[in-house]
Amino acid sequence: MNADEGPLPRETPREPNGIQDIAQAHLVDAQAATPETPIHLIIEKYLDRSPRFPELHRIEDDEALGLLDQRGEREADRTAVEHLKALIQGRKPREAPCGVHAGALIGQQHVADSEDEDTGHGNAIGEGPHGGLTVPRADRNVSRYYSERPARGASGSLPPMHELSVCQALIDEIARVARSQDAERVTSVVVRVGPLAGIDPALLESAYALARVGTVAADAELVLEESGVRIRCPECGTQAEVECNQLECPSCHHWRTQVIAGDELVLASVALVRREEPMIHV
Amino acid sequence: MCENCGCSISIRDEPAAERGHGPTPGPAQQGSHGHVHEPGPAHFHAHGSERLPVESISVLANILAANDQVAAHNREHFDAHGVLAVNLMSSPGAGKTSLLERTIDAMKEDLRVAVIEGDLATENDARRIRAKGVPAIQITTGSACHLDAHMVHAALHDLELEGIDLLFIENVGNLVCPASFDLGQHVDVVLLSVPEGDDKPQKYPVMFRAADLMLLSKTDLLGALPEFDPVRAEGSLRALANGAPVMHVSSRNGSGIDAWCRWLIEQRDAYRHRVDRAMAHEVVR
Repeated sequence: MNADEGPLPRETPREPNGIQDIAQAHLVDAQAATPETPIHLIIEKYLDRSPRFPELHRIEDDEALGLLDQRGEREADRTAVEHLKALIQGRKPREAPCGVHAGALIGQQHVADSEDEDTGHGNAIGEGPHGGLTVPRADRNVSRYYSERPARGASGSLPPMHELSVCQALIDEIARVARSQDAERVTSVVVRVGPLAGIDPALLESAYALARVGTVAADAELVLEESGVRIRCPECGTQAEVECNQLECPSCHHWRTQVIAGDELVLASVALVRREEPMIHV
Repeated sequence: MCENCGCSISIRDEPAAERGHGPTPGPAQQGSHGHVHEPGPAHFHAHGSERLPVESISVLANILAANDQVAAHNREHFDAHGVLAVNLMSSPGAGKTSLLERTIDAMKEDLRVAVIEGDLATENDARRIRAKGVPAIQITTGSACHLDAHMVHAALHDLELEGIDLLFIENVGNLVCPASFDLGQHVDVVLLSVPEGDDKPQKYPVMFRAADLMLLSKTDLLGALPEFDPVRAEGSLRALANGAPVMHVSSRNGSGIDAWCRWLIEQRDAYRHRVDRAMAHEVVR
């Protein structure tokens, strides 16, 4: 298998910069196909790209099938390749038993097949005393559950920051409000974030710039309302603003205080433009 | 249908059985469905040459509501089987997997254990656990820095909960991100290893504030690293208004493992008691 032949993911648009950088990383990824990391594993990753990030490359079904046809000869990969082709041709979301759509890779790892056989760990699956894995052997390389939308935190090769997962959830909420209000577009959103929410406001802003692309919030400004941490002391009744890592009561130094503000992560409001009523001509 | 407000939002992974959103949301989750309860005043916003009516809609929705709903659903799965779920968190290399190996050896006779392993890549940790004769599911997150409730739910489809007493969810090694995502666990345990320094709770307050137990790990190194002061470590946890117990363990020489296992058994017994009482309550109703 030669990494240099066959169509590679096409060029991504030139803007904006952050997305371009990530897209570049994906291209390098695709060129890295080797006998150890066969093309079907790479294709699998590309298939499931987020519809939210159209700038990021998402391989077309036809293109993927073409690549798989070229690369299907290798005996060790045949089952996985056939399975992947069937999935693409069917293009039906593969549902987990109770209907969940999730994007995480479960119970399997993209180990080169040869190494897999050396260690024999694949055969050991399912042999635990309590049942172990139930994923059939042939399914192991394609056990990603195909999702209609990206599962949080399982978004392929996006940068490892949870602010992006949070932003995807934020966009979901915004889209839900926009739908319920029959909005044409969203012009701005207000998010309230406390220091104990574990979210870095600056990272949230840069993640938002990525997450909003191609959604109803594509042009919506993000307004962050950063609050402070407030505690209430059950001993002396003091309420006070404190540092996020010094939560004891500033008056009586009792340490078992209650946080009454500062751990929130809330979509406070959405400014939107409703769809125009069609003009009725009499 | 949501029992709280009559909306038709339902989580995607509802089994056929009738179910609302799970347990009634606590105060932190109230108003978390993203409904629009009261439209704000409309105003006009100049955009280009046109004047378009821009309306500000008050929402007040918890952004992670979708994750929290799946987490509540996971918790129902656990409760249906009486499985205590323990979310094990720490920085990378603090010794979570080694601790689990020791723990499994020590508890095999008392409790039936299963493990969900979260890592960016490799199945190494799950292999180490399976080598102990315990079922282990590996979640490889790709590049995500934490587990979320959806990932754990998907993993649960590959794990037979029947007959399990204790499920460890070994989160991705990270002192920041895992703190923001409820997985459906009952107990949060955070490891702080001696080489990391005793001020970690002060540096990562979000993570340590949530801990139900802080385990000082690699305590066999205390002699070599006198700058680590366990009293200071505990003090920095208390400064976060967290009264969680602090225990010392060493997976290398086994010290403290017994106390930690006793704590787990106590947690599990108390949990079973709660579940039984809740079920009896259901029957009466």
